[in-house]
Amino acid sequence: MVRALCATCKVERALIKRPKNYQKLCKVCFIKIFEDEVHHTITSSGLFRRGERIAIGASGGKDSTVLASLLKTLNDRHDYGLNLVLLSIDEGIKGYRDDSLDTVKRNALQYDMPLKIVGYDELYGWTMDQVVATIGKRGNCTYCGVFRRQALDRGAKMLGIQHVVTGHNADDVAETVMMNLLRGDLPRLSRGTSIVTGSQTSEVKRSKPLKYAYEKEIVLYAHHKKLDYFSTECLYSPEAFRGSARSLIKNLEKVRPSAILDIVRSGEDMARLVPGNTTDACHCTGADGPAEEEMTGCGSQNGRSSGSEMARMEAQLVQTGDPKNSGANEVEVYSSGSVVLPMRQSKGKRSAPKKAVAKQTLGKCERCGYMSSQAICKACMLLEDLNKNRPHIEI
Amino acid sequence: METTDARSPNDQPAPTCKRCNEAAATIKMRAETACRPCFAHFIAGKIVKRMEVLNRETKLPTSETRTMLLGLSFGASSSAMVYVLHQNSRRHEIKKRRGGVIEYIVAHIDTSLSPAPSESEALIEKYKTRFSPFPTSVIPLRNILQLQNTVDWSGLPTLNPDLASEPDKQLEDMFSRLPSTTSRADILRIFVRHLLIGEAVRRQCSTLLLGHTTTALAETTLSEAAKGRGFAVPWLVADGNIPVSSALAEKEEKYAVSEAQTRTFMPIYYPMREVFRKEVILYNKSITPPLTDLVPDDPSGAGGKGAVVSHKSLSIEEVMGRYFEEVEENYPSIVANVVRTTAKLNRLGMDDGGEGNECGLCGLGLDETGDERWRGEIGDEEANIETSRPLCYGCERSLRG
Repeated sequence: MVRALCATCKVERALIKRPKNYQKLCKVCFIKIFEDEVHHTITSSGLFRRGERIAIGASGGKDSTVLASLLKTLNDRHDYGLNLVLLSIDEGIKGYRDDSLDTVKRNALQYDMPLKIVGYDELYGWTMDQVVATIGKRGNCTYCGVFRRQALDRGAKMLGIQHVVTGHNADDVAETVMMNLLRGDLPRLSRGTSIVTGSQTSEVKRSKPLKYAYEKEIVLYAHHKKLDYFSTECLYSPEAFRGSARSLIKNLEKVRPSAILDIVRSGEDMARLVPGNTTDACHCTGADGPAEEEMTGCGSQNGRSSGSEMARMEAQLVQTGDPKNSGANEVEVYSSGSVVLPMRQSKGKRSAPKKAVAKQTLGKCERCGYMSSQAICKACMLLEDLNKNRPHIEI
Repeated sequence: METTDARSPNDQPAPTCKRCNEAAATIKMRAETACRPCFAHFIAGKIVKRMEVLNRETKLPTSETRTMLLGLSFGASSSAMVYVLHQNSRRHEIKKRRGGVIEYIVAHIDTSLSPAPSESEALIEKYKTRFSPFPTSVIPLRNILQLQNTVDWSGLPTLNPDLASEPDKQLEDMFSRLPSTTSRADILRIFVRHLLIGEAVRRQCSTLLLGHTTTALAETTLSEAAKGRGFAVPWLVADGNIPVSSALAEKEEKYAVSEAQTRTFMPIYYPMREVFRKEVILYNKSITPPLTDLVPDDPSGAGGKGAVVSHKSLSIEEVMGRYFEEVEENYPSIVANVVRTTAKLNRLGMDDGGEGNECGLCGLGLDETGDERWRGEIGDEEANIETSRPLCYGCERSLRG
């Protein structure tokens, strides 16, 4: 069987079918195109400035390893003039973090970058294993996500760095868009797709240079570049909405590979449709509450989950007496067959201007001084709950 | 929250329905159990309530006769809509209520593309009999060829001139050359919508009513987002006025439902928007005589069951249909919440600038800001499809694959 030639160089044999558009490429051309596309994303959105110190949020997984390798390559090739540092968070999950941190340590040597590791235990007094032992496996991703976001920012601050890049890819962003639609979460929908988050007023900004890169291509890139990454998934399952959105997206990708990017595009456009959101989605807004991580998911691949979060929201929707939902508040229908309409209906979709979605105003947490839209930041709230339940150990 | 039949042979005698205090409560209906007649009243009430909202929002002079076009797909939901409005209009007649008369016209778009008398013709006769005196008609899909100015054909696979004498075959041939199941389903959906709006304009209707359930609207939200048409979702899911292309409106000079300076609008409403798909299916069985013989099995394939032969042969709508079948079963309030949330989004892109600002294929607003930004961030990796009128991102995507 004669193999087709690479669609780009037309010399080498095509070995790779690009997951994104089924283009047939040779290894060298694939790597080149993948790098060029990320370079385009970086330059077109003006992500970095010369001399900037950048902390790469490194978990040892494929996304952040590819990001670190890629940024090193592009920084050298295009002379970005960036000062790159690896920043790792030790959540304290035995059998997952220990090994992946070893990977990050090797990466630091391979890419000749300084490495800083910040532990949940030193930041919060709790490791994730201890959290799970206390609250069970249900909903622990919320804790992990909230803690990690702060941890990365705090770690960056310790290093005096104002810009953290993370390995979130197109699949993650698409997943977030679908998840926010399912949850009916307009504030998050209005900012979840931004390439840069964290407000201008906040001390640390975040960006996702791999926002348009397909997860499958990241895996291919890591494979063909023979990158050293850690491929075991997080032991704890993802939150149900995310898990559900994830499996939906995988099915959509099978039907039409472009669907992932199309969802990202839809998400960006829909962000501008959220009432009260006048800012362009590509730039950060002041409303970006820091404690509310728009990417709470971790790198876990499977959509397996208990479904409890969805069930809880379902129960809540029924209970909160949303008039359209709960049977108790329905339009009363009597046996005579006559229908008595409610006296006043204020929920009509009249042409009146839509109410702006409640925005958060940025302040500081009373306890830890970390940026928060609430008096007490999410992490401190979660910690308070945890500490209440912590058994008192007397020596 | 189940809406399934709660009766089972081994169960104890069912409790009395709390609504009528007479019959046995045999149907689990959202938060309570009710008897069949009360369940049917409950569902009909949901639809009637949306009609009240429509009447209030469209603010039409009540002295005039208003004509509304009912889009009928022969699916469970649109059939139930016709049934409820038929019942309701009879009651209006008997009561001789104040205010204007509403007349309903039923239109089915026959997508079978066969010149022989199709299944639709036979079915529509049953509808005519059962829902007399509603005027009921079948519009063949080939009529889209006559809406030359509504659809920009230049981006679609060329219509084979050799087949010009057989428009059905010509269309079939064009569809077969579209790149994927998803794009065929997408273009078909767009054509059906154009034909329904066109028919509503042609027959000088004041409103077009579509039978999407809560479940169907949630599916539309997510599948249009998955097809890159997020920007247009509010135009496809919320109730309200849709600008009608002037090409259509000019043909009918008398047509002036609500003229807003330069644009003509057609209100499109979804009276079934607060009912779940599974409830409609149960409702159709609960009424006497049931609607079952009027609804062929799963005509659209949406929410389709059955084994998946290959994922690639499915359309995005079908994937979404399967997904929501499951979500509706376990988390119906989440489905309803998706629709409620989407209804809060602003409709942009069509309210200003007048003509020429809509996509040449789907007719919905173009998103220039979004297009420009996207080109900037992604880069021009694919050559533009040459069309005489610009296309929206979603339609371009549909022509590619």
